Amino acid sequence: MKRGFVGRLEEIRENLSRLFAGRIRVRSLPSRWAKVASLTPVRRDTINVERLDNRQNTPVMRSLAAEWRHIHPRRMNLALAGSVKIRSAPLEVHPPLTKGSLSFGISPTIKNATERMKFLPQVRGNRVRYLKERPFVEGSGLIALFSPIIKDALLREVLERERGVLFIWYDVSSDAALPYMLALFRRLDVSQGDIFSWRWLPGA
Amino acid sequence: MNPQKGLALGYLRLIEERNLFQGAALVTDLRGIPLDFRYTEPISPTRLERILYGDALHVYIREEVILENLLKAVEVKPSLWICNDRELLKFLKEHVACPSIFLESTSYSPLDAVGEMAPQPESGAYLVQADPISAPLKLIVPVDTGEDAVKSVVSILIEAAASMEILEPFARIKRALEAVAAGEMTE
Repeated sequence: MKRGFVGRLEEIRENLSRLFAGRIRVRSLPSRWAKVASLTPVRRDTINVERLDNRQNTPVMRSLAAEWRHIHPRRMNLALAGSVKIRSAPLEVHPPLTKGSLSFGISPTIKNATERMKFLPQVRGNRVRYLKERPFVEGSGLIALFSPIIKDALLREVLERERGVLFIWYDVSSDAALPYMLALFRRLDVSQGDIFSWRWLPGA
Repeated sequence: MNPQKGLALGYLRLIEERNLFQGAALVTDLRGIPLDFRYTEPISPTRLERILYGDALHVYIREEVILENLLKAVEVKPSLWICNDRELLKFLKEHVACPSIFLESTSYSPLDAVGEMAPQPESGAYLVQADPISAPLKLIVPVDTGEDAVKSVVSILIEAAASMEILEPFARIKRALEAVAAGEMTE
C-alpha cells in the first residue's frame, strides 16, 4: 500500500514532467512528505470534515488522495460542500521557467556524396524492341542495342547477362559528348567459339 | 567542362519504408555524369512526433524536412528538376526557380516522331517521345503551366535523351542510398 501510493505519485510526477516538456520543474516529494502521504487512511466512508480539528485534518485530507479511487465523486462533493468554505482568489500566471530554448521540429542530416556517386556506373537497357529498322550485318543477328553511350568518355562497360543490361563507367573529366549506340550481334554462321560481336553505331 | 551548354538535370527521389523517410537529390550533366549529390540520413519520427504532428507529419517530413533542406544544400542548380512523385510538384513549383516536372516510364508503343506530345486526360499530363528508340515518357507539369513552358521542358528532355537515359538516374540514386545504408559509400 505504502509503496503503491508513492509509486503512483512518482508516476504522476513523470507524466507532468513530460506534459510540460521541461517548461516547469516537477519535483519528487521530499521523503518526509512521502512518509505522511503514505499513512493508512483513517476512514473509508463519507468524510465529515466539520468534526475534524487541525490535528486530525491533516492526515484525513492527505488520506483523501490515498482513497481517491475508492470514494465516489458525488459523496465526496457532498461532504466537502457542507463543511469546507471555498474562497476565490485571483489566479496568478507566471511565465514558464525555461533554461535554454525549446526547439520543435525534425532536423535532417544532409550528406554530400558527389565524389562517391561519380564511381557508380550508369545502366543502359536493351532497346532493340523499339527499333523500327534493325541494322543489318551479314551473317549476324542483332540481339541487343544499348543507347545512348558517349563512346569517347567510356572507361569500362560490363554486360550483365541475367538482366540483359549494360553497366557503363565514364571518365568524368572527359569533355566528349557525341552519343553512340552499342550493338551486340550473334554470328549465325557459327555455333560455338566466339559467336558474339560488339559494334559501335552512330547515335540515334 | 559540361559539353552541353551548361544544362543540368536535377533528380529528386524520396523513399518511405515503414516509419523511415529518406530523400536524395542528384544533379547530372546531360551525359548523366553527377555534378552534385546530396542525401538525408534516414528519418524516423518518434511516437511523440507522430502524435504532435498527426496527419500533417507525412507532408511535413517530406516537404519541409527533406525536400526543403535538400534543395538548400544542392550547390549546382539544375535547369530542370525531375521527380518521380507527382505530389511533390506543387511544393517544387513554389520553392524552386527552374521548371519542375514529374516523369515516369510507360509501356506504350513509341509515338511517331521525336518531340511528339500526346495530351492525357489527367490535368497537365502528356506522353512525350523524347528519343526515337524508347517508349514515350509520361510527363506531368504543375497545374497552370503554360504551353510555352511545357514546350521548353520538352526541348530540354529531347536534348538530354540524345546523350543519356533520362530516367536512369532515379535507379542510380536508389543504388547509392542502398550502398550508403550498407556502409559501402561514405565521403
